Amino acid sequence: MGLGAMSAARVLGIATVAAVGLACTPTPTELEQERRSRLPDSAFATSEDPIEPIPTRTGADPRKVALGRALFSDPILSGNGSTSCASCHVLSEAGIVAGEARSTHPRDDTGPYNVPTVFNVAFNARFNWTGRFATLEDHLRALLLNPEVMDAGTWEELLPRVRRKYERRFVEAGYPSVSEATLIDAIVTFQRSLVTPNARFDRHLRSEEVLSEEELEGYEAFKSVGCISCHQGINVGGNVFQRFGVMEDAFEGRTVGRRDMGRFLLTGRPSDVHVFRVPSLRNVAVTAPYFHDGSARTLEDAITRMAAVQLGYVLPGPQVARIAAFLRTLTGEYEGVSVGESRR
Amino acid sequence: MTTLRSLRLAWIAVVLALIAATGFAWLRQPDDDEHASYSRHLQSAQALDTRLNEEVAKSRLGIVNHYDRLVAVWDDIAALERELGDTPSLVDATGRAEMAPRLAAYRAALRHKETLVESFKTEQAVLRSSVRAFPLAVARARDATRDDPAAAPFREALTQLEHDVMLTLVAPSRLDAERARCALVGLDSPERPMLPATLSACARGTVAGLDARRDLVAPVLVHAAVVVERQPRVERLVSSIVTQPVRARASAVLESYTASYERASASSRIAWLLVYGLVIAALAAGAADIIARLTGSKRALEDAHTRLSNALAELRVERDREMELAALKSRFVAMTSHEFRTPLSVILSSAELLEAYGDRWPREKQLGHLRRMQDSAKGMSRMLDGVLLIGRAEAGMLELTPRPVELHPLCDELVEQARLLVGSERRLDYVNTAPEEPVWLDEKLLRHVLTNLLSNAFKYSPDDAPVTFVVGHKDDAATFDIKDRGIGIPDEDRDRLFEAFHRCANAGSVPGTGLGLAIVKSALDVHGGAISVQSEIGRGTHFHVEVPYRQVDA
Repeated sequence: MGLGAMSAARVLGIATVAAVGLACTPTPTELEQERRSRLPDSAFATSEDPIEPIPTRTGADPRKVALGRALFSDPILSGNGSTSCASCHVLSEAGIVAGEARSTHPRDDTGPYNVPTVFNVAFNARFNWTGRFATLEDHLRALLLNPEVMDAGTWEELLPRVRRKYERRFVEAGYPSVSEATLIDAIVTFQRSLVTPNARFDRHLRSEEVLSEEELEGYEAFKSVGCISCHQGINVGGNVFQRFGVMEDAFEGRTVGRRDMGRFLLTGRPSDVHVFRVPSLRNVAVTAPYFHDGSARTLEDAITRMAAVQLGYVLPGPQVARIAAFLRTLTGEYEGVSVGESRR
Repeated sequence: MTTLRSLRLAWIAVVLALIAATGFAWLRQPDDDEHASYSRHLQSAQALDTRLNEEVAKSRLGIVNHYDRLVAVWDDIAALERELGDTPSLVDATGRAEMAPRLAAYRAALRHKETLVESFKTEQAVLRSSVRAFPLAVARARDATRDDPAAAPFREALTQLEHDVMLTLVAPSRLDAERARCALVGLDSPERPMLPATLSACARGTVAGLDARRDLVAPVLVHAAVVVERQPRVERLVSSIVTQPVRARASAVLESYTASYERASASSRIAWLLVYGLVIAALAAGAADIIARLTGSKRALEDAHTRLSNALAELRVERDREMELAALKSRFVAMTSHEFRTPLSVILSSAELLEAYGDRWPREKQLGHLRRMQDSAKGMSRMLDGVLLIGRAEAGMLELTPRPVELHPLCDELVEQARLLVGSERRLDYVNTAPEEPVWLDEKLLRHVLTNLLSNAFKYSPDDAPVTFVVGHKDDAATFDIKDRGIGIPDEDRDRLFEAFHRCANAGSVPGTGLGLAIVKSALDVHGGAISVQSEIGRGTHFHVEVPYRQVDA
């Protein structure tokens, strides 16, 4: 219905952009600002900020969250009694194993996967680097039984172990008994409660805090360079698939292994080669290393490589620094403490 | 009784059928909540598909610049898809068979759409980046050569490219696309072909100083290529997404589901109708049973009442007879005490006198006493005969044995007998007009009747009063009229005149047993005859008797 009108508005908008481009020689950031200031709140202008703040409250049942927290860090879930979820997702270390690209996922010739943080998983559309799982429940179920990860054995073996220790706590938390469904639900409820609100950027969005000049410029650059195309939404990513290396070959000069094939491993479609789930940039400053293989050790390194292989830009150093400054404002709080506090 | 039992059985059968039918109907009753939620899901599936398309369009047009809402809609669709897997129990096997392929088709369309949407998001992200980056890259290249007059053609080419690329973006007509591609090819370097081979046919222009500006041109080319290549791809994806027949497939599922539901509720309606019918039948049968029972018990009550009444009546009759018998006995005793004692005492005293004085008495006196003894014994014998006759009559033992009888000799003999009995001095007027030929009568019974009537006529009239005896005939009956001029019969005794041992109040000291007229009546009753009486106290009595001839069939 309004499609024709939209197209007309677009013609107008892009013509304006072109005109501005011809009239002067602004920096990309300036251009973006110019464009924003010139365009009114029309249908063409983006009516919503591409990033939304994380809500400060989760409606989760605190009894279930407490039970899920205990289970999350209890190694009895693993087959050999030595591994818990918290072994790889250390909550005091931003929900990852600090500084390591370590994963007990099926290994291949090129090394382990980088462990994604467990914080804010509630806002992700899919889970794992390849987006294999559509729900946290499916994800947890698969990882518990995966011999390479938790190796919990069968449900018949796992449930009695849990029942012996937690029967009473399950009932106290309002579950009828210990079962596959309730065990999964308790842990997933806890996972969903792991949100990190009150990042400085969120406070800025809520007009509670003023960001520095550099940080704001970083945000503008983040948008104008095009990072925002994938890293958008409440989780600044996590809801779209993208090929690693749109403009350039991301694996140039490196051995490409199974791990690097991405979604292709799942779908077998040639178009899914090197396609990964775009990770969330929430708490990105404290969740190094970066990329599926942990190959970027620093934020700046990651920004530079992303701009090059995804966007075809060679970003100058100050621009990278500005974007990094913006990304640092995405570090939120968990239970009132800044995420990854211990590491800083 | 059997009707009642079969009614009862029918009633029980109907009630059992009712219970069975209710259970059946209950089972067949579609779960309304389940139905409501399932059909709501199916309708939401269609609505959500529209919302998804809307979100895709918004995202494509840049109205929404993140994918969270698209993801949220998709999550809803996925949740709904899981819900739709649970086919409601009301769907029968046919419905399931019909729905299964449609559901599968719906799922397949969803899977395809999911892939398309993911591709759209991916491609759209790249396209958006380049759409943002491209004018910036162009601006940067232009800016860098602003002060170089020799670079004017380069800048011109840049402007042309920007114009064409932007045009493809907003109005992806085939012509614009070709022009943009050609412009692009004009700027492209031979060592890094970024465009499809199909475009190599386009004319290659050369731009002065291009090599020197490689670093400036490269991003322009890269983004231009992205826009030109991906723009139509994204449009195709959007078009494919929007035209994915998810809504139609969901609608098809809803259609066959609705058909199933209609079937289920129709059969449920029939089942309930059956139940209602059976309820009515059960009520009717129950009512009929109750009515039949009431009627039955009323009839039984009436029967019992009748039986009781009959028994009571019988008891009354019995009692009356008992009382009569008792009265008869007491009369008999009273009579015998008097009637038998008198002749007995006569006999006894005569016998005692004869014993004591017989040898001294003269012959005359002895004979007198002997005669008295004989008379008394004869009287007793007669009375005994009468009693026995009455007894036989009352016991129904009196039999009619008709024989040809000549009435003249019979009546003459009876008259002769009467004269002998009462003495020749008593006057008897005797007229006989009966037919000469023999008639069929029971002679013995007739003798009883006439003897008694004649004897009574003499007994209850003065010695000088004459007695008339007329024998005649009338039709098929003989008539006998016996008249006297005696004491008459009082009115109060008329009713009981023919009862045994009854004697009239004015009978006084006249000896009698009270059996005579009872014998007459009994004999006439056996013979089918009739007797009537006219009497006046002190003036006399007239008995009229009719005895029908009893012609015995040969």
